[in-house]
Amino acid sequence: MNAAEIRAVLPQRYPLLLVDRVTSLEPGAVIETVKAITATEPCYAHLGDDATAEDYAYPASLLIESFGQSAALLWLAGSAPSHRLTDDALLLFVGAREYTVEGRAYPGDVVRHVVRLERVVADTAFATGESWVGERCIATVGSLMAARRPRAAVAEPAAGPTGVDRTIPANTSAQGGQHVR
Amino acid sequence: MTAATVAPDWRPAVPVSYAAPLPAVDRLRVAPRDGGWTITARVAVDPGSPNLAGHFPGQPIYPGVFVVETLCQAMAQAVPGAPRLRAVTSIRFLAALLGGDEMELTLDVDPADPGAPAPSGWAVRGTGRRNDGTVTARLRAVFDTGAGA
Amino acid sequence: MSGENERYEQLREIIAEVLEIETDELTDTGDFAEEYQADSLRAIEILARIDKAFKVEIPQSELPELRNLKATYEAVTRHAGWQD
Repeated sequence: MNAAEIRAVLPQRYPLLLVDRVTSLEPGAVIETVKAITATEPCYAHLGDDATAEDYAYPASLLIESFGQSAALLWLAGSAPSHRLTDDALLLFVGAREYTVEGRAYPGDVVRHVVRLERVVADTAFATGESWVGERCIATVGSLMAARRPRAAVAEPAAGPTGVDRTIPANTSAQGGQHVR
Repeated sequence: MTAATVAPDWRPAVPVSYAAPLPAVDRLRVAPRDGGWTITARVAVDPGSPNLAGHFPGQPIYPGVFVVETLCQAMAQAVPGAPRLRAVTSIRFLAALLGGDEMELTLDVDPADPGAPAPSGWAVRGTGRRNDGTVTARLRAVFDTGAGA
Repeated sequence: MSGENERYEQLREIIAEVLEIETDELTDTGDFAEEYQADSLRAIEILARIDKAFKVEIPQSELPELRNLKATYEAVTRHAGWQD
C-alpha cells in the first residue's frame, strides 16, 4: 500500500497523516508499516541552532499516532466494505495500556511498526505490537484501543456548560457533520 | 478534584525547545506535595492550528495523542530535570476536545519507588477536563528523572 | 475445586487490572459501573481480556450481564463449558 492508497483509507491529513507505506498486510491479523522521519518534519520547525541531538528525538505523541494509524489501516483492511470509514464515521483513539518507550527515533530513521489485531468487540478494536528502528525496538504497545463512532456524535456540544463558555468561531465547522471527503 | 492546600499562581508555559508537534501547554500551576507535585496544565484547542487542519479536515478534534503531548510538556516544564516519558500505563479518552475548547490536565506526580533515597522516576496520575467540567481523559504514566539521569 | 478457585482468582486479577483497582478491592458482587466507575469501554475491555486469557468468546450481546465478578465468572463458565 503506497501513500496514495493510505490517503484514500485514512481520514487524517497533513501534517498528521503519519504512515508512509504499508510493507505487509494480513487483513484482520497483522500489518507492517513504515514512517520515515526527516529533519523537515513540522515538529522540528521551531528548534533553534542550539538544539541538542536529544532535542531531535521524535515526539512520543506522534509515534503513538503513527502506530495507531497503522492499527486503523489493519482494522479497516479486514472490515467488510460496508464497514469501511464513510463520511459519517470516524475512527477514534479511545485508549491504550502499557505503551513502553524503549528507545528514540531521530531524523534519518525509518520507523517500522508491527501491529497485530487482537480482537474487535462492539465496534472497538484492540491492537498490540512494537515499533522498530532497524533492529532496535523503540516502543512496545500492550494494547491500543480504537472505536468507530458516528461523526455527529463526536462533535456533539457538551450538555449544559457550567464553566467558561465554549466558544467556537462561527466560520469553522467544528460542530455538526461536515462531510469533506 | 484535588484540593490543593496552597494555591500557587498560574505561570505561562515557556517555549518548547525540543521536538514537538505543537505547544501543548499554555500555562501551568505547580504545587509541591509529599515528595512530589500536583501540576495543573491548561491548553486551548486552536481550531486554526495546522495540526487540526489534518485531524480532521472540516472537523477539528484535538487528537488523543496530544493529551500525551500536553502531559510530556507539563512534566518537562514543572519537574526539575525535565523528565521524559517512559511508559503510558493506561490512558483513556472519554470525550472529544473540539476547536474552541480548553483542556485542564491535572497531574499528581509521585516518586515511582517511594522507599528509595532519591527518586529513580515519577509515577503520574492525571485527569483531563474540558472547560464545561466534562472529564475528557484519564491516564497513568511513568517518567524518568530527566535527560541527565 | 482448586481449578475453579484458580480461574476465579485469575478473573479477579484481570478485571481489577482493567478497572485499575487492587485485587482485594474487587468484591464478588461489587457493581463494576456503580462501585468502580466502569464505563462502557471498560466493559468491552473486560470482554476482550477474557477472550485472550481463557480463549472464551462471550457474545457482545451479553455485555450488560457482566456487571460484577460473580456474574462475569458465571458467563465465562457457561461459554467455556467448564465443569467444576
